[in-house]
Amino acid sequence: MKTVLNERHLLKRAIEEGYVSTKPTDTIRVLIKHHMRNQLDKTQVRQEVDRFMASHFKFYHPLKWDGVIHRMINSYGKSGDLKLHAVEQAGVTEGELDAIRSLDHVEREKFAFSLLVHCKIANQLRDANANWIEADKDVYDDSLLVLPAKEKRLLIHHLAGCGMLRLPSGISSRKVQLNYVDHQGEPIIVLREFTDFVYHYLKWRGDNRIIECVRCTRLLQRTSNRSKYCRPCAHEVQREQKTHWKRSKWYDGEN
Amino acid sequence: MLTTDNQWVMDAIKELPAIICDQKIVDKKLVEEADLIQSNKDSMGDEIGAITNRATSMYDVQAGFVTDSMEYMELDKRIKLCQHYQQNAIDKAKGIKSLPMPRHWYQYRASNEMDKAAQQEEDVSGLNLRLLANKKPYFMIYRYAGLMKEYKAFIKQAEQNALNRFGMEIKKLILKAEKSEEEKKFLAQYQWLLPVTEGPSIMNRLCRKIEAALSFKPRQKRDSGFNYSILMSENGYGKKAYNQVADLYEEYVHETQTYRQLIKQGRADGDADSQGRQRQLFKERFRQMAYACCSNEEELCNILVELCYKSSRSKQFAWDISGEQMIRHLLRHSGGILHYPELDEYGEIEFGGERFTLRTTRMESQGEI
Repeated sequence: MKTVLNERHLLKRAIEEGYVSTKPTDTIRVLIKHHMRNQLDKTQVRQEVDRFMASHFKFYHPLKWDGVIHRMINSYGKSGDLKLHAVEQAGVTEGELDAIRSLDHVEREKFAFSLLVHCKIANQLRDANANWIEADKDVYDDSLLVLPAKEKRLLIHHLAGCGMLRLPSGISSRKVQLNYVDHQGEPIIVLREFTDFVYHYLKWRGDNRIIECVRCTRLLQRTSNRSKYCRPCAHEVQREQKTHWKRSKWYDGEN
Repeated sequence: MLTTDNQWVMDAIKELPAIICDQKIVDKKLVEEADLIQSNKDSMGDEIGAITNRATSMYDVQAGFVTDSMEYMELDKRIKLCQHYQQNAIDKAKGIKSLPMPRHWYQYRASNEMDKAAQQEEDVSGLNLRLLANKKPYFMIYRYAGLMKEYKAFIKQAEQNALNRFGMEIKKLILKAEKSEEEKKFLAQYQWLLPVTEGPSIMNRLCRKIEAALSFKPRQKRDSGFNYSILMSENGYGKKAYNQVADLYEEYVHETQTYRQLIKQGRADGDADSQGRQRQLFKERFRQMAYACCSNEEELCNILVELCYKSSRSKQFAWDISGEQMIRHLLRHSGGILHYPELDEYGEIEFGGERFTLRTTRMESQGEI
């Protein structure tokens, strides 16, 4: 998931470590909000952001970024939305899961679940969101779909056909409104970690290939009987095993 | 002056009476510096190009009507009058105040208001909106990069939207025999919001023909199977130095891209000569940084070749930094023998309108390179 879920954390890293996120506009956004909250005027904010980017982002080119930063400052100055958002978790209720399960097509279900999680986050980020979500590449990527491109492009059509989505009237909008969001029920899946979150749905659905990493308890899809670790842990364990093997070899060699 | 006897061009010429636009004349006076300044100011943001483009758009709109129809004749008149407005735009620099092109010819709002005012005559109701030339014709996407970008983004989104709503692409939707009300509404909205006009004007038809012809051209294979090890020595390279040079390569690619964007936007400093000098300085700067990462010329060359030639990315970085070393490696692999083309009137190789013969020479020492 590419959406920044914790702007406060991002701001802290930017100020303390000079960190610039993979999408630099995310860092610029939190810096603008921060400086505007500190009552700096537009020119001062512009100078502060410029100074920060010049010293911490090696690909920064003032000419190239001038228009972007200028527009962002104007936009936040106008809207006045300077709150730093922090999404800690997203809960999915039984009613929502049942609605998704009724599609009876695993790939469409994964996509519907991904849309739902993105929608829940969007609702937390914007109070007046009313279950609208932009069905962009991020949603498709998080669905971990195993489908040909042609069929991927028809997923929204299928979901809208089942009455689960409402499409916008405009021709150039990518937004869809979810009709299966349940605001009342008790959540039975609570997501706090948003990497490969679709595995939580597959586990609930009864997919026995979904197992927990023995090291960090993150969910992963078993691809063989030897699968034990999630990808980051697998790298870590491999490195540790190699170090251990080398140490024991040198130790044995000395004796 | 250009002359031609090309039959296609000759056939396309329409024998029409010459148009003479009534011109206003300014009083004769001795030009002073202040007049020149004023003239410069008056010609800022001139409308000449915009008027020409609007006239071209009118041809595209006109092609959608039957010859001799009221709409066709009205547009014919407007196109002829465009020459008058072009003349006016040129005269503006001389300080002559003249009428600009009527807004209702090219602006939706003005056109709509005009039509509302003329609603009492039923037969011409909506005439101005039908003749409105508020978009550039399709073929101009190849002239204006911004328009191409806008067009592509719109088409991509509209295609996905058509799939979302009707489960079919726009092409199929247009060809569908019996359309529902919603489908008709969608297509009308699509035509209305399209950033260009896709009328059957000659230029648009030519453009489509060229597109169709070029779309059958087989794509060049990216992987040419070139064995790049002949540019390297057998001594290999260190991983640490490789990673450092790889970082430098990323910076080089990024800076080159940024500079290209500046040139494209016309924001790069200086003329061609000064840009050439800047390029030399740029090369030298990266050369020094690369040698700071790895001072061994041979090892650096191996790293650069491995870095640039293992993917389809630009090889310029390797040649900028370590071009001479690569030639040395090539010569070592060929035993010092160098084949090179020499200009020869009767040569077997033809390239760029010239003929060449392949000559062979032996390079005795590396100092000769």
